[in-house]
Amino acid sequence: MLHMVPGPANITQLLAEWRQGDAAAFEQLAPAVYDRLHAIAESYLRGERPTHTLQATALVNELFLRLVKNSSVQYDSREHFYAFAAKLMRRILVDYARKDGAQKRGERPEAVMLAPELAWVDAASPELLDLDQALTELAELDPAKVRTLEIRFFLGATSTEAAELLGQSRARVDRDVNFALSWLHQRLKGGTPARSSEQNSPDSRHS
Amino acid sequence: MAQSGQVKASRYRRLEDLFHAALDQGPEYLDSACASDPALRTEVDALLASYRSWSASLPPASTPVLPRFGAYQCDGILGSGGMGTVYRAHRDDGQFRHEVAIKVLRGSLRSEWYRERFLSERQILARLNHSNIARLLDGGMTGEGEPYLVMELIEGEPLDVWCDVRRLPLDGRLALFGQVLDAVDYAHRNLVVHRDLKPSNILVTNEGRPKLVDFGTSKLVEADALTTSLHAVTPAYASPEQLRGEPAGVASDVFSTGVILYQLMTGAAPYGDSKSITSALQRASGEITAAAPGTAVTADAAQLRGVSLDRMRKVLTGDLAAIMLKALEPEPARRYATAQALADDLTRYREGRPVLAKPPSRLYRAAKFIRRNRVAVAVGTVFTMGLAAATAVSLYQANVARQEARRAGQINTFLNDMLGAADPSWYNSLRSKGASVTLLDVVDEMRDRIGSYFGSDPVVEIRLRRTIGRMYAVLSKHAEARAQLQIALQKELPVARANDPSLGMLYVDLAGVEYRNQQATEAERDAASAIAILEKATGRQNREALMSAYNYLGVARSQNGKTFAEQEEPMRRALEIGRELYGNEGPTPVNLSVLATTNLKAGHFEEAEKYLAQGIALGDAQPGPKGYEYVALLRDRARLCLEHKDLECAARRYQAALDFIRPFEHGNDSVFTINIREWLALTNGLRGNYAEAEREFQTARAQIATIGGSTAESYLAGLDELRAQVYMAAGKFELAEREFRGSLKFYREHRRDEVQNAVLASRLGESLARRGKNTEARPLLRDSYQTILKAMGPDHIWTTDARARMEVLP
Repeated sequence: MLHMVPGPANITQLLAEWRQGDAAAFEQLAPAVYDRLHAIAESYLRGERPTHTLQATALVNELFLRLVKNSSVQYDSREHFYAFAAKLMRRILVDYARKDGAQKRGERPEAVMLAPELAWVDAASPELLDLDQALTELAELDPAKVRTLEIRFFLGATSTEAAELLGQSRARVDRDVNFALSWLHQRLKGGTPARSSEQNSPDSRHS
Repeated sequence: MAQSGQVKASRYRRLEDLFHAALDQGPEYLDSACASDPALRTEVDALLASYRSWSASLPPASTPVLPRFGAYQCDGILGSGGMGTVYRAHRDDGQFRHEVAIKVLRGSLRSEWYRERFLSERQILARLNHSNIARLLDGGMTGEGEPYLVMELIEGEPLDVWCDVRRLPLDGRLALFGQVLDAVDYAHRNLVVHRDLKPSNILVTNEGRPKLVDFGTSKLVEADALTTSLHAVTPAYASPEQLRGEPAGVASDVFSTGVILYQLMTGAAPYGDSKSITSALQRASGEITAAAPGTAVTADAAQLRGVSLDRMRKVLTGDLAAIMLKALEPEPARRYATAQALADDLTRYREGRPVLAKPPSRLYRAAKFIRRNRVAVAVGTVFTMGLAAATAVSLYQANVARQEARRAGQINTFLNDMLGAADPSWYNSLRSKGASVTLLDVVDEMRDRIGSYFGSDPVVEIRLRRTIGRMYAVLSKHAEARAQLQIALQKELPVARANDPSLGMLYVDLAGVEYRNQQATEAERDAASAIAILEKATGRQNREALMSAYNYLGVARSQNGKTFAEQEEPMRRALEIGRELYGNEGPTPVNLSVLATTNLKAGHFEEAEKYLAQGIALGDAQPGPKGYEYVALLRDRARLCLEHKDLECAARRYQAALDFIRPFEHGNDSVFTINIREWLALTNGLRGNYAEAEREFQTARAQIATIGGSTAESYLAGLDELRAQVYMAAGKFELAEREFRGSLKFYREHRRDEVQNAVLASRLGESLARRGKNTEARPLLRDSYQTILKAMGPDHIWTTDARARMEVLP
């Protein structure tokens, strides 16, 4: 074992501390799930996953259930755990993009996307670093939306799953995602306002 | 700094609001909203442009291009789910238009591993040839190497929708569900596990035939077990082990059918909000189990099943509930071992035979026993019931070779559960009796072993003695039952708290066996003890037990020759408790039957008729098996015709009661059936079929004699009273006198109600008068007439009959 794994009883406590802003708690938590998330991230980045999108939700379910089963971790901490795992996955991918992304990029013919909604970011390239930076900026204005985005796109949760986890309606999640993604897109891809009259209204595709 | 942060945040919020408003109400909204702030307008427009930009690249959700697979051209999309897409297609190679469904698995299955998997899966599916499974017709690969399956096109509605739209009653739903289980079991025997059973995967055709679709697809996808567990299955129907991502086998499908059954019956999901991830997580860890089906029903659900809410609740708290909960056990090993085993138990339920699903708790067992006792009380006679069908049906009957292992397992579990400990020597010793092991053998064996096993643990011993006592009672072994319950009582009294409801229940059990063992005095005493304790107790089980105690008190008083008012008073109290327990529609068929019988015997025909009509209507409205109380109601309704001297009506109704009960007796008439046969014989005798009636009475006498003891004596006294009436009709006054006399002697010694005895005495008087024995006849006829007149008034049919009999005298 490379990492010090926190004792089971600590996990609930650490999740609570992390949620209250204690960054050190995050570092202590990470080893508990790092290896598995890392494995998922790797196979995803290598294009081995048949779905071609990042779907770590099931894995996180499994990890969380295992924690619950083998320890005193409370169900109350479920949302914290997901948020934590999503945050950790984001970091794993960013690390990957920072260290290896540049050289690995040449070996892969196609871009890797987190989700169809984020097809405009190649997740295995330095583009992800820009996204990460923009997310950090957004978090200063609206941390709740970043949490939603992380769960939705770094864990690959569906709108429905994210809504259930966050205790919100699905419509609310979709609305938040639409705005936050547009905000990020605008920040990263910029450009001038398009002539709206000639475009199809994208709404009709989301019914 | 803080200031600027706040400004930034408020501008961000404003942007967000305008963004959504523009999307919801159109960009013209911005014209006025941003009129005074062109910079803001520019920002919003930029965001909207970004939105269009990224969302435009999303895969389009509409107007798909319909593909072509080999000779099949797709015409439309039938459905699209997590696993793939199903198209409606037709073969257009110049032959007749043949419509099919084509399934394409989502995602690319490019790897060799998937391809092999797909081919083997396709072979399995091709083997499945069952009328309730959509057949695989063909399959292949597209030019791009995408595999597809060509399936029989099923045009139907999902199982739950089909049932609800047609307001299918519970029994109809069970019948339909039986076909589903048959198909699932068939697939299992062909080594195919569905893993995604749910109503939307079971389509019912216009002809009402359910068809399983989507077979095997989930198994294909199971390949990526690590991450697809929650995506591949439908959490609402997934078993706990599936939710944990563990391998899912036959037991998992059984669980899913359990969820479907639960929903078909109750209209609700067994776990409340079944779609929520929270619920799925809790189920995966075994933290929550299914809610009691009786508590899950709603008025809407009842309406969709054409039954009242109260009735539905009642139906869904008995054996049917036990069956559902067994299928939904979190622990796979505790579920039905196969879909067939579940189907078998449902069949038993529908035929009114004892089911194998075990009650989940001791309290449940008590309630179940009490329910049976209520039945016995209603009938007012001893008969074999419930599990007693097993006296004829040995546990090893039929298909032994094939089912040996499964049944052995069930018996073992049964014994283990009874004892709370595993001991194979038990099973082996029973097994040595071969194919003739009966339930009674099992119970005897248990009784004989308790002492040595649990002598050191009084609590366990008390529980076991009670259980065994109840089982003996169910098997009509009342003396043995009483002995076991007495031991339990003696051991429990020193340790029980005062007014401990469990002590009250024990007294109810005792009163029940004593009543049925003709120990009316003891039954009255113990019923009173039970009432004293249980009146102070709350909780449904205790109230149900209290209701039984009152019924026992009533019938024990009847057996003890107490007045009608003394008999009826506790029965009315029981009825009140029934209303309180089961709502306003309230009285159970049992309560109504008890009251009907009591009123009938007291000559209160109008009241009896009222109770009978109500009870039979309730019984008719109740889906599922009807209890013996229903037969008792049918029997008493026939008696009403007889009392009104409508012989043709009586014969018809007694025959109807017999026809109803016979199929449940498996060729071995219970004393209950024998009793109905006696009354039918009387009716036929009065219609002039003397010889036939006499034959029936002889047969019945011989059957009763095998019971032995005081029980048989009392039955014989009842039989002789009827037989004598036929002798009278046939003009055989000497024989009639002998039988009347014997019967009256018994009843006088056994304290029967004085009016009934007066009717009997009046009949004896007539038989004497017919033979010119006027000296003895005169006081008998006169005194009995006075008694009847006083009790019933001058216009009652018993009074006018008794008056007419006096006219035989010179």
